[in-house]
Parts: sequence; structure tokens; C-alpha cells
Amino acid sequence: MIRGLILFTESLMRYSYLQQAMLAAVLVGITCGIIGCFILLRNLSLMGEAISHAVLPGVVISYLLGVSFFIGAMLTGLLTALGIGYISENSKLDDDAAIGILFTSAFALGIVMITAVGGTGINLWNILFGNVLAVSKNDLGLTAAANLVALSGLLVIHRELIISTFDPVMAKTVGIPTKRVSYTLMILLSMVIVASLQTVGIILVVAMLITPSATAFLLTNRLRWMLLVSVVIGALASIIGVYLSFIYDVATGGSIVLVVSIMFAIAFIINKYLTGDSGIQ
Amino acid sequence: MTSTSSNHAVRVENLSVSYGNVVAVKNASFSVNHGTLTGIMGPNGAGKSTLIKAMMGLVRFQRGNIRLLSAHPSQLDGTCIAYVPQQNHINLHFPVTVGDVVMMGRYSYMQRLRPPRARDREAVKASLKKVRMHDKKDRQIGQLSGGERQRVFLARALAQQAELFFLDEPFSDIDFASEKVIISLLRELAGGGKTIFVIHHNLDKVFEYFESLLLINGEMIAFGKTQCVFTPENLARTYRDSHMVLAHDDDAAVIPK
Ligand SMILES: Nc1ncnc2c1ncn2[C@@H]1O[C@H](COP(=O)(O)OP(=O)(O)OP(=O)(O)O)[C@@H](O)[C@H]1O
Ligand SMILES: [Mg+2]
Repeated sequence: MIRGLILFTESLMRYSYLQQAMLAAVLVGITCGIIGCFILLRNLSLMGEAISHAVLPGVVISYLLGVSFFIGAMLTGLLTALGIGYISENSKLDDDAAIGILFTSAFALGIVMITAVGGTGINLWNILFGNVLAVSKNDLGLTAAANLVALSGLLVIHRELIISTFDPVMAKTVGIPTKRVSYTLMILLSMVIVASLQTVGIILVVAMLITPSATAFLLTNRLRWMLLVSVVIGALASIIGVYLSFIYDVATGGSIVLVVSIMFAIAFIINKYLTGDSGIQ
Repeated sequence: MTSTSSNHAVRVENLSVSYGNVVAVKNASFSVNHGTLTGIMGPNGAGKSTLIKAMMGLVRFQRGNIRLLSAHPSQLDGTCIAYVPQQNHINLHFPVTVGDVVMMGRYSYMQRLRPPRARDREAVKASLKKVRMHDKKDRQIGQLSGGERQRVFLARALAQQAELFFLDEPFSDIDFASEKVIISLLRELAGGGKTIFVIHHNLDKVFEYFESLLLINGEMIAFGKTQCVFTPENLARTYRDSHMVLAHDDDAAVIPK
């Protein structure tokens, strides 16, 4: 254990790829931890799932056009989010069903495109499960920029977001454009998801959105504490996850998510059996 | 603008609201002066909530005309209307405190990216004191009794310093002490010229609480001074499908079927 820690610290000092991986993972942990709180409180976990899967065809299209994967991924992610809203508003289907239909369609399209293009430089495994050790300086810059934009966006609309989540009818009576607020949240969510692709990948990114915020939700009673605890959990799990994946040579995304899941399990047990009720006042 | 129309705080003409094929409110027409406390009554699904949502400009209506403070509802700014939601429409686990909820009422007075100012904090404090909840300002919103929570939502409405108040069943499932606090505050507001609509379920306090009354069951059944509207015949028409109305001289009892 101690030896592993020393080895890891030495390598972290020496190798820039490891530094970049660590930074990217922590950034993703922080941003997902924050936006995840709002996603959880608005019951949008499935929406996160949908956007992340719908990113796949966008990555392939970007590759074909020779542009950054960010652009294509954002685009198909957002289109799917809008499509879900459109279907559930214009039919008797719930969000739930609309999400199930659209994200599987988009994902299937992505898979078919990848196999059709064939022999490309696209590594399906990396997109699905992330490969944080392959994060370049360029990627890190892009990730940082996307996260910064998302966090600033959240800061600007946080009051509207909180009120319209808590009491949408009252929000409208005080003049908050609740539809515009929720579309803005979708855009920011898509950015965060795309920025997380290299770290945890399409399949696992929802865990970074929901598990830290759900853990924080169990432990706290005030939004500011919930945000803080969620960020700490997201960042800490990223650090521990990268460490474990380096030492034991296992997939980084999976390792980060497992750490987060263990933290949730501990919080759940504490919440259920140890405290009489509900957390930090 | 004629002088008669500007005397009315609220004027509704021939209002009809449908959701798809479901007609929720049919042919409602009434006007209310400033400083009036009006009760809205009717059975479940009668369109009470829909009526106040239409008045607040939140649901689209197919026919009719609504004027609030002589303006179209959508022209009012965020400080004019205060709304107290129906209890069961609130997520009790939401991580906000009593103080946070009342501060939401100050939304229209706050600037983006600026923290609340002294006058916002003072308004919150004063409102909480009025509903006698200031000592519980740090409680999470779910850790209150139904009556306490209703008082908190009234405090949020007070902090808005609005002209028009809409309360959706504030007296359902609450303790008597809270009910007394709320009704005396509503009277005080009406005395100060505020116009208030209260959706109400319980038939025994109607005379005591409301000077004017609106009965609705899809169709608007009656509107006017409480003593003119609250009659056995009107009640029988309002509750015909769901309740039995027993009338005896001036007294009426309404019993669920
Ligand atoms: N968003 C909606 N979409 C479709 N129908 C609706 C919607 N909201 C209400 N309705 C229907 O409109 C009618 C009136 O509903 P409303 O909520 O206004 O009644 P209410 O008098 O407030 O009832 P309650 O006493 O149960 O609160 C009901 O038949 C209801 O099912
Ligand atoms: Mg109702």
C-alpha cells in the first residue's frame, strides 16, 4: 500500500500523461458533481443516460468530417435531448418512453456507422469506456474549457434553476422562463457529458452525474452542502480511481465509478443505520 | 381604459379553459375589487386550480378575456402575483430550508450574480415573524408539520410584496392554530388593499372567512357576496355529482356520497 503510493507519486511527478489524466479526471469529477445535483433534483438521470449514448454517432460523424469530436458529439447529444422533449410533448408518451426510444436509436446508428466505416482510427472501446491515460494536452484544454463554460452557465442561472426545480408554478408567476431554463440546462449537461467522454466513457458517465450527487443528497439537508459534498466525492473518487487503475493496471473509468459506488454504499448505510435522520443541517 | 375597469383588481370575461378535449373551466365571468378576499369552492376536478392558473397567466385559455390590475396577465412583472401552491405538489425532500424558501419570494427584487441585499433579508425575516416561523428558519422544508409548511409558503408570498395573492387550498390538512394565523394575515392583507383568491374545501368557515365567493364545477355556478352565493340551491348545483346537500332554513350541510 505504502509502496504503491510512493510509486504512484513518483510516476505522477515524472510523467506528464499521468498528470494530464489526473487533472482531467478531477475536473470531470468536480463538474459532474455540481451539475449532477441539479440533474438528480429534477429527476433527469435518464436524460443524462440518453444524451451520453446519443453522443456516439456524433463522434463518428466528426471523424468522417475531420473535425473535433466535441462538435459532433455535442450536436447529436443535444438533438436527442430536443427530440425527447418534442416526442413527449406531442404524443401521449412519457419522457421515460421517449428517452428509451431515442437514445437506443441514436446509439444503434452510431454502432452501425462505426462498423460501416470500418478500420478507422476510432477506438470503440475508448469511446464506450473512456481512456483517461490517453488524454493529450489539447484534450485537457478542451475538457477544461467545456467544464468552465458549463460551471459559469450554472452559476449564472442557479437561482432560476433552483426555484423552477422546487416550485415550477411559482417560478412562472415571478417571471422565470422555465422552458428556457430547462433547455439551457440540457445544453450545459451535453457539454459536461461530452467533456467526460475520455475519462469515463459513454456507458459510465451517468454514474459520475448521479452517484456523487445522490450520495450527497443522502448526507445533507441544504443545497450548498449537497453541492460541496458531491464535488468532494466526485473529485476524491477520481483521484482514488486513477490511482487504483495505475497500480492494478485496470480500466480507469470503471475503477473511478467503482470507488464512487462504494462511497454511495457507505453513505447509504450511515444514513440508514447510524444517524437517526437526515444529515448535516 | 374606462374608469370602471380600472377600479377592478381582477376582471374575467367568458373564460373557458380546456386541456385537449377536457374542458376544465367553462364560461367564467366575474370582477373583483381591490382589497377583496374571495373564496373559490367546488368538488375535486372542478377546475379550481385551473381557474387560478389561467388568472395568473400560466395556462392558455381558448376563449375569454382576463385583466389583472387593468393589464393582460403576461404584461405584469414578477412582483405583482404571489402564489401559494397546493401542498402535495411540493417535493418534501428538496434540500432547502425555511429561510431559503421565503427568500425565493425575493427573486424579482434580486440581481443576477448578486447575493441577497439587506432589504431582502429584512423582508424574509419580517415575513417569517408574521407567520410565527422565524425560530424555525433553518429547518429543512420537509421537517415541518403541514400547517407550519403552509405558513412558510404564505411567508414567501408576503416577502414578494405582491398586489394579487392566489392560494391553492391553504387550509387543507393543517392544524387549527396555523389556520388562524393564516386567515388573520389574509384579512390584514385584504384590509391593506391586496386582492386575494383562496381555493377552499371546508364548508363550515365560509361566511366567517370570505366576503365574496365563487362556486365552480367545470361551469361557473355563481359569484358574488358570500351571503348571496352560499345558498343550498347553489351548493346543490355545485356538488351535485359527488355530494348530498341537506338544506334546512338557512343552514346547509354537504355530505360526500
Ligand atoms: N395539465 C393537465 N392536463 C390535462 N388535464 C388536466 C391538467 N390539469 C388538470 N386537468 C384536468 O382538468 C380538470 C380540472 O382540474 P383542476 O386541477 O383545475 O381541478 P381542481 O378543482 O383544482 O381539483 P382538486 O380539488 O382535486 O385540486 C380535471 O378534470 C383535471 O383532470
Ligand atoms: Mg386543485
